[in-house]
Amino acid sequence: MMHQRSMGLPCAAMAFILLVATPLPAAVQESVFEDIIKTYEKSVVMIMAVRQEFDYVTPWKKRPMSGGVGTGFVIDGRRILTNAHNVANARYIEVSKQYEATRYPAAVEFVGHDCDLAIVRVYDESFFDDTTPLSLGGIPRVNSTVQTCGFPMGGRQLSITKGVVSRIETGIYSHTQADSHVIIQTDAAINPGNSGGPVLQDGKVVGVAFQGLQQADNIGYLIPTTVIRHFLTDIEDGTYDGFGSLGADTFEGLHNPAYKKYLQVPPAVEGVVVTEVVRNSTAEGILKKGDVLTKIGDYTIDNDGLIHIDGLRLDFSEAIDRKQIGETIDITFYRDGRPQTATLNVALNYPVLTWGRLYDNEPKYHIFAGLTFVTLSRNFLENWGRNWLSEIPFTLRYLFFHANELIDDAERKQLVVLSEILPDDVNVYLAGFKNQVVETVNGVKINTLKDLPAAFEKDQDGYCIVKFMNNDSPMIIDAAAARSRQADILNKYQVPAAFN
Amino acid sequence: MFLTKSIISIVIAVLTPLLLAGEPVDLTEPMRQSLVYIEVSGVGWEQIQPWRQTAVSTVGTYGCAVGPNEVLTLARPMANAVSLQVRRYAQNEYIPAKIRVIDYEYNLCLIELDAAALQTPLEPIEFVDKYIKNRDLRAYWLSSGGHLTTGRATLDRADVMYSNISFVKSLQYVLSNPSRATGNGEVYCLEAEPIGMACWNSETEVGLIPAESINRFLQQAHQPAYKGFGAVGFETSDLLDPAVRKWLKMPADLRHGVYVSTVYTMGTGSSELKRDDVILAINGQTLNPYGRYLDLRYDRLGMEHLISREPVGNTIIFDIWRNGKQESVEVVVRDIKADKMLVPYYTYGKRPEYLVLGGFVLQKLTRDYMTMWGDGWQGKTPPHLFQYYRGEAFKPTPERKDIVLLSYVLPTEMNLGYQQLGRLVVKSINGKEIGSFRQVFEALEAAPESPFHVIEFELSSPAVIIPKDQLPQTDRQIMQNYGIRELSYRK
Repeated sequence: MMHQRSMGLPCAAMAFILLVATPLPAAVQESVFEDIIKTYEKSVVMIMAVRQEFDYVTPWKKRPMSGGVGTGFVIDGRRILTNAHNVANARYIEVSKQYEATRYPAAVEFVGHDCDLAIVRVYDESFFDDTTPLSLGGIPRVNSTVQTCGFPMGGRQLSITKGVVSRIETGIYSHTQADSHVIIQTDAAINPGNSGGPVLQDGKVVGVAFQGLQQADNIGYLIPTTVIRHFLTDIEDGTYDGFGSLGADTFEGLHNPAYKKYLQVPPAVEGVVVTEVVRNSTAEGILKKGDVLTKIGDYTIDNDGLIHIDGLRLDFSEAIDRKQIGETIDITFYRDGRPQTATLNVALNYPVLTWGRLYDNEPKYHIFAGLTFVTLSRNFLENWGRNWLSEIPFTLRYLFFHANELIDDAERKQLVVLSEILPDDVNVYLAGFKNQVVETVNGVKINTLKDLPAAFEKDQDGYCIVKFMNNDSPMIIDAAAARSRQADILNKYQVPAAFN
Repeated sequence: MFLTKSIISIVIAVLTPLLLAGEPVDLTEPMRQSLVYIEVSGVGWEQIQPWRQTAVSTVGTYGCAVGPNEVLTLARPMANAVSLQVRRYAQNEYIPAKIRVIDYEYNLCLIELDAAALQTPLEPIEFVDKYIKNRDLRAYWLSSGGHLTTGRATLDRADVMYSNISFVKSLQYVLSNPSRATGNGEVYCLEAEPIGMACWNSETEVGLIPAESINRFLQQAHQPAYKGFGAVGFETSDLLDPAVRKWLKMPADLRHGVYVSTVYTMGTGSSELKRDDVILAINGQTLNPYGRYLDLRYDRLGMEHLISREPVGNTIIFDIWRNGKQESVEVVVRDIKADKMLVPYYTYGKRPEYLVLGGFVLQKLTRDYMTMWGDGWQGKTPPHLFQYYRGEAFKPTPERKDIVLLSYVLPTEMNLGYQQLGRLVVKSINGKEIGSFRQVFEALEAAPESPFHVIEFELSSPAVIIPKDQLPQTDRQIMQNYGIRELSYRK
């Protein structure tokens, strides 16, 4: 299996302690549990958000509004921790407690979409007067009992369910559909509305409930405290940077002795093979295709791409997940039969086209002669609907899967696509170019959306000539006619400005 | 021909009074000795296990006599045919037959019946090149039960369209309001004259291969060597935009012509045309900005007809606009052989080439392979495979004739660690670039001193390392465990 590139990064070295709960007799457990709930029942809150997504095709418009309910809980510093997906693209947020009719307007202070966590601030500080901040615990043991607290399925009374931790591994965070970090699986019922709620063990938070499996019964997932702590540490400087990544794709194929011999790796050494280095990443110039990564940080990597860390066997990306952006991590790799070491700067290392879904990210656009250009993103592609991956135009699909390999140009930072044509006399014959990715405008390479205005300023013998990827036919526009129509087109379609 | 003309003459003579009276013509009786039912048994090859034949399938189709022991039918049902049995009216025994000429682009096939098995010669019919819009037509065919069966439809229009089995566009008649779901080799007649053979149907329409195509095919089929007909070797896009015309330096009064957007490396025009040319006319027929011309009989038709009607080797004249001036270019009519395409459009009846090497299954990328992804396969096939079909299929080069792929891996101890690999395009083997399937075998002979075969792939895929000393034993295990009789097949 090819190893999926993690979009996220490791956290600051955080030697967290594995919390080992001492088993108690059942009756004692029940009474302790009730005490805990009484202590914290005002601290687990309902979050209602009015959301409005951006329109990634015609970005000056916004999508219809929708509402949603989730859970959050009070932590130190008079803050509420919840899931990012509860407050993503929120235009209005209010928070309430059980047994109280008062609604408290609130706002997002920090959000980490790559780890699906957010901090919400309530404007009225008195909200916190009768609350007790919940504190974070460690990673629960597999087969230990946890309690999930939240407001599932629209109820206004706090719901508490018990479950057992059944698995701890690295998995996909469905909010962005692309990031992967440690997840804790439990059989406690986690339903819509539970999201963002604390999962408790021995009175401490051991996770934030955040997603479930639709096709299975009672399989829910928690964000572990390692990820939560990374997020909280990250925002201490007032900015959320996110999780870093290796900046390379790897392959777990060294189970094969011949492959290992060919790569001149000693038989006893295990690791993963680098198959691609992300352009402009911090791994570029350090790693290269065919290197065998054997150690990351203090952890040796096995042939499955896993490391032993804190008693768990997790994807080696966990070592990076425990670092903050800007920190460094040491790696050991074999190249041409010799072990080598290097230090990588931990960075986001996003490829030119990321797989992740974007939130709270106002899309940029540029309009010329009614031709609307935007940055290619997953959000744009999802406009094709439920089966977007098979229904998007071919070139976009090809790029979505292989942009890093196909675009051999370090200067290219974005892919710019003709998203919409606002019909006018000047562009009436250009519909066939819609949804194509721009290569050049008037001979100028378009590396980012920002390159467009200057490129359209020029012309070639009175024509604006746009060339697209995978298309031999250029788009020809009468430059003078296009410029003369610009204002009228913007006015006709009520576009506030030619770009944002 | 003598028989045919006699029959038609008799039919017309007998029916003249009825025609005059405006009664519909019934050819049931005279068609009895001309129409046949054909049972085709076929065996194809699996794409995923190319060493395995598919289950035997049997389909029925219709045909009509064009010689005493010659039958014209559709090409489509003949794909993968291994046995043909023909039934004629009032003869119980099946008559063995064999394919003489097949043209998948025209979707026509000439089969030859075992003359010794025929009790009496068939009575050939002659197709008449006739087109009268909005006239009612009658269809005739011999059903699987041996009944002369009829249907009706209205001749709605002529169009140039893809046959449902090929990449070539050719002339078809479209019939509306069919009374029966014909489309399987039924003969349609305009009054007493056969004018075409049904080749497809939808809920409301039927497609007809017209007499002019049929007669052209038969004329060539009776030559010592069948040459085939032209296929378009370029792509066009419409040239409506005045700004583009001006950019191409076309005078304002030159308002026709279609823009050449892509030129293939095979097919008609592939050697003579260039991107950014504007085709103004073909053989004197002026093309409009959509690439259509005004046909005196059929009204507007796609220019593909001007090419697909021409035998391979003929010369046609293209009037083009190139680099700001008008030129005439002599273009040699060429066909496109599916198996010469970079990604063959079809592989009917052809055994796939493959190699199983240490459990790694290597084979050629074909359209048939990609259709394994099912309905909507174009959107489901891995894009790095589909892009070769979409953009490069008609552009093979001497250096790149095939796309060779690692289809998947048959698990065995030797290929541990690689067993999830698949759908990868082979870039090189033992350092030799792979541009054709033949080169796979040549490359395996390279670097004899190395203890490994090294297979590298396009994009960011790992190299596959195969220890040569383990291959013989592994290959024996593979054959035994997976029931493979031959580890490779090549033409």
